[in-house]
Amino acid sequence: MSVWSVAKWAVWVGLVLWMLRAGFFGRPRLFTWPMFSRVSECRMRLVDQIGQPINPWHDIVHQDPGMNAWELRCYLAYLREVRGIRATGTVTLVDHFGQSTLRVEDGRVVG
Amino acid sequence: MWWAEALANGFRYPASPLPICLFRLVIAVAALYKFGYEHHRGAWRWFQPESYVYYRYRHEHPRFPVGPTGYRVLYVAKWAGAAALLVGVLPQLAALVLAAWFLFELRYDRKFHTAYLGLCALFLAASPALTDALTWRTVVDARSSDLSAVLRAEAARVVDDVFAQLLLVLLTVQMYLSSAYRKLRSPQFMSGAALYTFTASLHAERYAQRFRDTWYPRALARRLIDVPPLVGQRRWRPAAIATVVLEAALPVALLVPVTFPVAVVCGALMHVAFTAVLPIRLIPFSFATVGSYLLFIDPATSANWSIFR
Repeated sequence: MSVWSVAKWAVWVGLVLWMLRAGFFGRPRLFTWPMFSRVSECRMRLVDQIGQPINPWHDIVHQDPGMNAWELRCYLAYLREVRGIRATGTVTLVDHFGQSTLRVEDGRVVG
Repeated sequence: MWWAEALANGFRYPASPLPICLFRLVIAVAALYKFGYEHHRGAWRWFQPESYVYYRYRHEHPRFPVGPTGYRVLYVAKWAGAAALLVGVLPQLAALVLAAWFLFELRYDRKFHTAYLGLCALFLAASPALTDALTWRTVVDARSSDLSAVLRAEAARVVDDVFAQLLLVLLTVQMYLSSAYRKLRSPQFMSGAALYTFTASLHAERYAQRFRDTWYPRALARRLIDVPPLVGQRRWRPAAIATVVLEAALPVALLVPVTFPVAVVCGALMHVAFTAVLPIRLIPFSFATVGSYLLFIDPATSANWSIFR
């Protein structure tokens, strides 16, 4: 068996083990494919300092409706630090734990 | 079955280069389509200092610094890589460039279809047969000779190494099985809640979206979306169950020659349904996935395909 053959078998066996582990056990990572399998939704009702509505669709890359709590805080920080917008309003997050409504004041989540 | 024989022979099998070269074209076209619509959506400016995409990327990956200039270098490289892969100029290098781009893209926009395209490009790079058929040379040769004769000659070539093709087959099999398993284990998917929430949310926000991604027919929206959540979930449940059954059955059906034609029809219909949920974004993924079915066919018989005879 040549060195190339051994290398190919090593890659093949390694990939099969990686695919088994990532595909069927543990948290999602490369080689995990849980498309559409979780509920995820984020409804924002936010306005800026002069009462103009804030539309997050103008800033995000993709058109997914889901944004988790970390992403929401990151987005509010971006509005504050880069655009000088201090958002106020409510945000409803829906995920696999259920639904929660967060209050946003002065660009931060307050409850 | 050819794949079992190839595995038993240490990834060696007398194969025509046509299937892997056709798949090379599929991945190149899928990548060009994806890059095209993302460019239309402002991707060239996503790493400008005032962009939320760049802000979020810097906060999520402080130790992986790609700035606005680096992003644009990679941006140009991805277009060049996709074009080179399409015409067959240094296709292994082009596939590696594409794979590198897709893996980078996952750092700022984690999407499963991006991961699939990136892994396809990475595994394609392992094939030594990418220049053997359907390249710029085919076009040049066809100008001085008969196109069908050129295609026949390319199809008649024999490649001994099918390692890359087997890797790609493994990837598609694993993707379907993992997807079916994860969905089956998700009560939210099996109840129809995940599909209902996803479609209802996108439909409700369709006028707020700067670049719209959904156009659900009024009759479908009336029946499946503009209804109370519990009713909507119940109506989505059959689609959820059918998806899991199809995804679990497809790999086996694709690997067995007798059931292959049925698997192609069922798989294509399933991907049409997926694409209807997210028409713009899922076209390249569906195209690549259904295109990967070519790789399940015995590559020794590809030279006999009627279009190349």
